[in-house]
Parts: sequence; structure tokens; C-alpha cells
Amino acid sequence: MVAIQQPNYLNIELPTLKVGSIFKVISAYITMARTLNSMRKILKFQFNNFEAFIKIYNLDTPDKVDNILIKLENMSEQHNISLNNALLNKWYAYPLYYLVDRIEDWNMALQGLLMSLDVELVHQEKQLNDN
Amino acid sequence: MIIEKRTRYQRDLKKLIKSNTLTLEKIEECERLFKDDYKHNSLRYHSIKCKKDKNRYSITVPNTQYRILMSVKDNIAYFKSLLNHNEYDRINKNC
Repeated sequence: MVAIQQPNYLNIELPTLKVGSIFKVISAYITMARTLNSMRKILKFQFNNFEAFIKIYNLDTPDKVDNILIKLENMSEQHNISLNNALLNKWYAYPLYYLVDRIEDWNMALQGLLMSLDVELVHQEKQLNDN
Repeated sequence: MIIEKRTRYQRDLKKLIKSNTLTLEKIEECERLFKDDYKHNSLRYHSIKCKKDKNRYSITVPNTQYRILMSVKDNIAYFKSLLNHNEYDRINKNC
């Protein structure tokens, strides 16, 4: 008879886990997800209530609109760097990846509206000058 | 049609030329083609359905994945941005 040797699972020593460090990682993960989610909600709200957004930032000249656009563009660049980051493409970081992706969606949509506003203001100025 | 280039478009153009993804000649050729005949097949000129922006149009830079986003008002085409396919989808997705 051939004796099949099976590993004795009861003898395997589990590595000692530092409870404190795991707790810190999980809490940082949750904080990050919460921050990203609130950022997503803010951008979505600004897109859906664009007229209020215009009034809050007092966007009545093309220069003011352009300043906001530059800020959003910089934000967009950072998001694209994050989305291409290998760490964010791991399975356990998927919720964070998803949130950054959604933020970028709303950010670009908001930029689209700002660009249209910029054109409207320039066109109005042109018409006034022509008259 | 008259072309008016906005600051964002010029910024995008500078970035793309600096990163060697597009050449200035290609863009100039595209602009020339648009000026002569904006309905030319290779430009794929079309309007974009958007509730918040009724004057949104786009053209394709021939033989590239890049699109020019514009607004057309009173026979003036305001070039707003130069985008790749991914950015173009994002900008019009929630519109």
C-alpha cells in the first residue's frame, strides 16, 4: 500500500497579524472612498444645477470661465494619471477606480458646459460690438 | 464658415503638438478643409444631441482618433476643444 502523505493543516502556523495596521489600512480605504464619493456628488450637482454654479462663481466674462476650466483640466490630468496607475487597477482597488472614473465623467461633462458658456459670452460680446 | 479658435482649443493643440501625438500640418489641413467645405465626408461633421447645449457640433481630424468640438452660431464656428475618442465620449455622455 502506498501511504498518501497529507499535509497536517493543524500544524501550519498562521502568520501573526498586526491588528492595528490592518485597521489603519481599512479605515484609510473607507475615508478615501468617502472623499471620492462626495467629490463625485459635488461635480454631479454642479453639472445638474449649472445655472446656480454660474451665479456662485459669478461667471460673466470669458476670462473667469477660462480660469475655472484650467482648474478642472488640471484635475482631469491628475485623474487620468490615477486611472493608469497599476495599483488602482488591482481587484481590491476597483471601488476606488470606479469612483475616480465617475468623477472624471462628471468633470468632463462640466467642462463641456463651461466651454459652451464661454462661447455664448464671446458671441454676445461680438454681437454687442457689431451693433 | 468663419473659424474662431477659443483658448481651450489652443491649449489642447499646444499640448498635443508638444507630446508629438498630432502634427500642426494635420490640424491646419483639417481647418482648411473645414473652411472650404465643412460638409466634406472625411470631416464627419455632425451635430451632437445635448439638452443643455443645442449648438454642439463636432468634426473628426481626418485619419486620426481626434475630434474637434465646436459651437456654430450665425455662420461662425467656435472651435472649443480638441479631444481624443475617450474624452469625447465622456464630454457628451451625460449631456
